[in-house]
Amino acid sequence: MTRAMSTVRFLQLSGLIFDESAARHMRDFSASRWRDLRIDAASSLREMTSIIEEQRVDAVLCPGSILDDKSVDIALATEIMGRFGAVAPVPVIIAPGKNDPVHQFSLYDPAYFRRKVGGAFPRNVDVLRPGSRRTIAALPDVDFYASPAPDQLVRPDALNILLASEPHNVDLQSSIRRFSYVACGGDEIRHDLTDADENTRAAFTSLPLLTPETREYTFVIAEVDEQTASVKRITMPSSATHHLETAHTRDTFDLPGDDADEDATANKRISGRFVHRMRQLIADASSDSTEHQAILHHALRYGLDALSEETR
Amino acid sequence: MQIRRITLNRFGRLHGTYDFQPDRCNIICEHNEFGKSTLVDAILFGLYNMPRAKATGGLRARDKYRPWSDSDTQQFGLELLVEDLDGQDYRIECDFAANNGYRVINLATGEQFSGVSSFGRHFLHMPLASFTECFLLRQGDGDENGRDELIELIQSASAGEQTSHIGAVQHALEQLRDSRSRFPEFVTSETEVPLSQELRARIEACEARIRELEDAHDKATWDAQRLTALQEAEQQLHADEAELELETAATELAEIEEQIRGGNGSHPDEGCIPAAEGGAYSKDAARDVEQMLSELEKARAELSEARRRLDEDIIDRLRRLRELESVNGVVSELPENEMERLRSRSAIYRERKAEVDRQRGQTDAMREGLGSHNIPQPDFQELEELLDRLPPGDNRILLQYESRQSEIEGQLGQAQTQSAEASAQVSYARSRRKKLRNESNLFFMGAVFLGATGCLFLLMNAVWKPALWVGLTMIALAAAAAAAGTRALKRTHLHDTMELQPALEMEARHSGETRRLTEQIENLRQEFKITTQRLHLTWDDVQLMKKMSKWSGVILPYQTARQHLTLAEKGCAEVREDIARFLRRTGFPLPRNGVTDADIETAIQQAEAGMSFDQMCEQLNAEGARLMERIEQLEATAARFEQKLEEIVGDESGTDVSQRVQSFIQKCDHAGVVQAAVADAKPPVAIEQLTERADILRTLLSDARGLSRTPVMSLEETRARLDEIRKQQQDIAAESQILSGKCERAFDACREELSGLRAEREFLLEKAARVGQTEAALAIAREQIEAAAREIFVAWAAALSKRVNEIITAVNPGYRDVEISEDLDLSVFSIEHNRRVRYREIGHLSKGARDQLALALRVAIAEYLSSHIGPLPIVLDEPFAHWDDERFMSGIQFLASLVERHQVILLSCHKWRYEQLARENPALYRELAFCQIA
Repeated sequence: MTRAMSTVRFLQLSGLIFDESAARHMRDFSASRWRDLRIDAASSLREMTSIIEEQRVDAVLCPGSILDDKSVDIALATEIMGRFGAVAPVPVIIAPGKNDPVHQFSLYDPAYFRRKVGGAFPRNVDVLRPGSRRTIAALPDVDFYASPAPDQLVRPDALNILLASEPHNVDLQSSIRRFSYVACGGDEIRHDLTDADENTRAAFTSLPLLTPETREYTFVIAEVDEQTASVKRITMPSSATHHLETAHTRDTFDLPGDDADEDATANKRISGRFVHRMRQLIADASSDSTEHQAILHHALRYGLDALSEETR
Repeated sequence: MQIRRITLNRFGRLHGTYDFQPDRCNIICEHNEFGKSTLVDAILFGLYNMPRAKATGGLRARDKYRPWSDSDTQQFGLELLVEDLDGQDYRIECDFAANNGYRVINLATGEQFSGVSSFGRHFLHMPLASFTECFLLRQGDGDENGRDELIELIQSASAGEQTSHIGAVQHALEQLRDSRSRFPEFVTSETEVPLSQELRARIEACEARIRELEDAHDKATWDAQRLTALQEAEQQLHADEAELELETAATELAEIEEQIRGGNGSHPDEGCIPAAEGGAYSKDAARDVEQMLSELEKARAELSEARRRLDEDIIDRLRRLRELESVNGVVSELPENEMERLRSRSAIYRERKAEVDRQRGQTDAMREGLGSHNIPQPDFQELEELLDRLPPGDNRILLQYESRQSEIEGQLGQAQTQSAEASAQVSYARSRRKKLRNESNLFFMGAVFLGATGCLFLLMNAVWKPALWVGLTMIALAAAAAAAGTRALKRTHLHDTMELQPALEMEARHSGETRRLTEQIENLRQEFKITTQRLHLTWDDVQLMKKMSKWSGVILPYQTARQHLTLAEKGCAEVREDIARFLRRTGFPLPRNGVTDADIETAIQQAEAGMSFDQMCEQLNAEGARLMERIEQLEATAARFEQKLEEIVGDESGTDVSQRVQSFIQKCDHAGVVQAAVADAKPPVAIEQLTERADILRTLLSDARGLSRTPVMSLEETRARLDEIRKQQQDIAAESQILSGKCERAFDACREELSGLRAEREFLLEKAARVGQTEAALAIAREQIEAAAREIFVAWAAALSKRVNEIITAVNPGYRDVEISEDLDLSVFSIEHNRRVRYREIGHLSKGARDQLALALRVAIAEYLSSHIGPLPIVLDEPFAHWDDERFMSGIQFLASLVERHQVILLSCHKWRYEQLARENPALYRELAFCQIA
């Protein structure tokens, strides 16, 4: 299938937030769930190259929240930029959000990056400062804007793309009338917007935990021309171990104590009586939380260990 | 269950057959190293198969009992004939040389039981350890420490432990007390702090550092934005600078054009320098002049600074002198002794003030220390207010009342218990005395009666001849009765001295102690009551005192410290008032009321300064003279430079020398241009040079598209503005450099540390959660083990008491009434000493007596443990090693009677004892069966 020349295909991703473990506490996630998400984010980024090739993407849009500037270290930032650099010559347009502000000491600053990493900043990566506009050589007919949106478009006839890293600060209804496409990041907007002709003009990508219907990262493929825009979502592979996070404690439920039944003298011994009492407690706690049941099973094991000769 | 026969096939050093009698005590009496223990192990391995695991620190059983000769390795096993609890006979065949060489065959049916690898587990439902505990009674070895090993014997058996030398439950509870050992990564921390607490502290430290770095990051982000703004400002300044340079060029062009126009009109401008005069205005001259001007300005600046300092010094001196003048007047009129008094009072005042500060610091520290005791703050504040209202002596009575009362009540309870015990002893002693007294009375009455009757018979001698002999016999009996009465009386007296008297004294002492404590507690209550009534304390006040009583140990010292502070402050205030009175009397200007420490300190300093007024004047004059000298030097330097400059740039009154120098430098520049034109061999015409300069400026302006611009400022104004902009640029560059360094460091720190710190926090949080769960699990395990131990001990105490009493009277008639408490504490009544031997004293009994008690306990325990599965055989390994001959006889008799319940196998190495038994008690000897290997 061939595309019209004026049609541009974008891959949109955001909400990776490398490596903001602080968010776990703000959002009350369990450690295992957050760890799985970190793994998923990294694997999603690794998949990016093949998606770009498969989908014949013209440019990558990153509307915010790629890094957490407070906690990302140089090694991780180098790896992430390396991933973006690896998709060259496909351009990558980043509009940093609240987690990764742009200044001369941020890892988005080419000079600082070069100074700290020792290597060159990827040539195909463009970082837009808030409110700025960029036209890139590979796509001369496309103007990229970083939110906040300007009052006037410089080239109204060109394909104008707005990267809204904080879309709640943007008048999206007005923007979708003026821009060909609005790529939304951030946490607040979770639904796509369509124009009067039911063309999708704004699509979101954000942290998957914030979308109750899905736990996986999704990338957006947006195909945009002057009149229309269409969007499809690609679900990234998930390690999915976090689905089982409440079940892992059950693995430890097969605990010692059963051999007490084999000893006919057990009921006259402390260990036998202890096992009997603990089993009673465990039976009574069958409707209690899994954690409490696990504690009781551990108590049984610890008690038997302490009473047995082998531990001496 | 009965063991009928065991056939050993090269099992260790044993080879042959033993037959055991079911209804007799089977004795295997052999020398040391014969293999008696090997035989016991053989029976156990026959019943439970040979264990594969290696014993701790030893050989595997298979290797230990392998035939000693290599040629016999193919024959290694045993055969056991047993009768089970239901009377069924089985043969157990064990071929230890083969794999899976264990077979159990029902002798009645010839059927072999498949899949049975252990007779004991299959038919007795007991593991080897439990069976061994019921089956084998080894010789005790717990006599070296003299502790109550008998109690441990019961405790270990109840916990299923045989080898432990300490209480199994206590050991288990001790093990469960420590969660750190379950987390190897934290074991190395050498601290007594609970692990959860340590982790909390580490998490807090980690989070504090994270917060610190995040704050630093936020600030650095803000600084980075500020830096961006500064850089934008700097760019703007660069633009302004370029603009001003154009303005300068335009202004200069305008001036040159004016000059050119003036030159055409034959009015040479003063700025237009004839080429011939160019020699006076060289570049070197300009440099010299510029340097001199710089030196002059430096000298002028220093001069100005020195004058300012002198002015300030003069003003300061005058002010201080004016302040001190009045004081000096006062002080100078004071006699020497008054001056001395003021000095000493000041010294005292300062000492007391230092003391107040020290006391205040101490009180504040104690107040902070109170925070660590979790004292409820509202109650404490209320109590503090209350205590402040009350006299200090009463505070202690009221606040310590509750704790003192509890303490005395505790002592009283103890004293009452001791008193009751003493009373019981007295009662017992009295009843015994009464018995002895009655006994002696009975003897004496009998003696009297017999004596009287004997006399009567003697009197009847005349009428009845045999009466003489009867009378004499009765008199002799009377004498014997009198002697017995006397002995009983002596025993009574001895009893009075040895038992009754001490018991009475002890009773009196404990009663006295009880009375004393009762009075003490009553006095305490009375004192508290009187104090509360006297002070009109409300119910709430009293309740508050009682509530806070448990912290009296820390509150009272704090209260005392506060009182000391108040006293110190009062003492300090007194001295302050004294000094104030003295100063007012001598005319010092002090406020009439409310003199503060600051007032007094100032006044003292003034007075001290007044005392040294003359000295101060001299100091001030000397400083002034030094400054004046410096000013004169600087004036001379400035005048010298000024003179030199005037010689070069001319002496024009009304014009500042710096303006003249600037003008001179400009002329030098122009002269340079002119000289360059001369060097090009062109006619040195000033107009041409000006035209040339104008062309250069036009080109410059033309390039910058500023040719049509009209200058709005003069050249001087423009240059001043340029200087200002360059200064701003320098300031911005300096600030940018500082901010840049700060940002760089802050971001570097964040990128190096934050990621690791967050990972560490994650790790610690996860560990803390696990430690919390582990500690909860350990607490539950402890609680349940304690509860299980209580239940088990109660059951064991009830079960063992009866049977142990039966056995101990059989093996050692010197003891009876063995009691096992619900805590498994053991006591026994000693018939010889006529008193109960408490559990702590049992350790002091002879080894033989303890062994007899141990045998009784072990048999009782074995019976109790196996009661639900029927009687099991009992093997006793050298139980009589420490028994005397009499007890040995009793012991053998007991074992002979025990065969009615259990099959008994006795292992011994003392053959002579049984030979002696055969001689002394052949009947008993015949009840024994001596087994020998066949």
